[in-house]
Amino acid sequence: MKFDLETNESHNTNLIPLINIVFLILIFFLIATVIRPFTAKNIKLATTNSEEGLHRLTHHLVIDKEGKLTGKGKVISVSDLPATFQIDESDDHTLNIIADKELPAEKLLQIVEEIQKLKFKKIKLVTEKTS
Amino acid sequence: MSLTPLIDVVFLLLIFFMLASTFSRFSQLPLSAQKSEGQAEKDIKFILVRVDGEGQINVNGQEIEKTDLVDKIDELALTPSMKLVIKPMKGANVQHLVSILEQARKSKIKNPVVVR
Repeated sequence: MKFDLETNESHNTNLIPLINIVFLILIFFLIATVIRPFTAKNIKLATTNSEEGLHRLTHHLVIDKEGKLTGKGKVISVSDLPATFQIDESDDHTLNIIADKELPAEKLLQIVEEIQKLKFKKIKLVTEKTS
Repeated sequence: MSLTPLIDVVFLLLIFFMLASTFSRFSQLPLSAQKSEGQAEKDIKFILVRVDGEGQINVNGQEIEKTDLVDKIDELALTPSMKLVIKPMKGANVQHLVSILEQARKSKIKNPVVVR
């Protein structure tokens, strides 16, 4: 019986360094990282040194390098843009475009022209800071 | 007191942060596009910056280095009403356009217009 108690105690004691390390890693991630503001994968953003930071995205449109559009989690076409982005007066009227850096600029501008027909006041292109 | 539920929760938080976080810092650039068709307004003079598929920059027909772009625009921007027009040529991609826009915003003319 005495033998059992000792084993149990030593088992608990051995876990504490592990918990310490896990806590340290957790604190590191809490401090050092930013939550990704969008979920689009396989999109390589264009790089800039621009100072205008990105805090949150209200409306965003993802365009991959082939020009495929994704809005509100669904693959859409240019003609679906008005139906997908129905905005009301309380919105900040900014649309962020998350475009792949290899997308032809002409294709991007075609889409931007279509977006300008909607009620958005500002259109901003999301980029990645180099430093 | 059992530590196991605490460790479970801490592990879950750790996995969440590892998956949801990114070390990249994001920024944003205002974008305004216009069609290049139609008649130009007579009174407004503009500077035309073209960028091709190799990232080569051409300002009012003169090829220049990317590093000289701001100086060149400032040299050509004689009046505050002048417009800066950026035209990506065939083969130019978003990265080329973004580089030009970023440089252009450092010049005297703050709101460049992009045409196709």
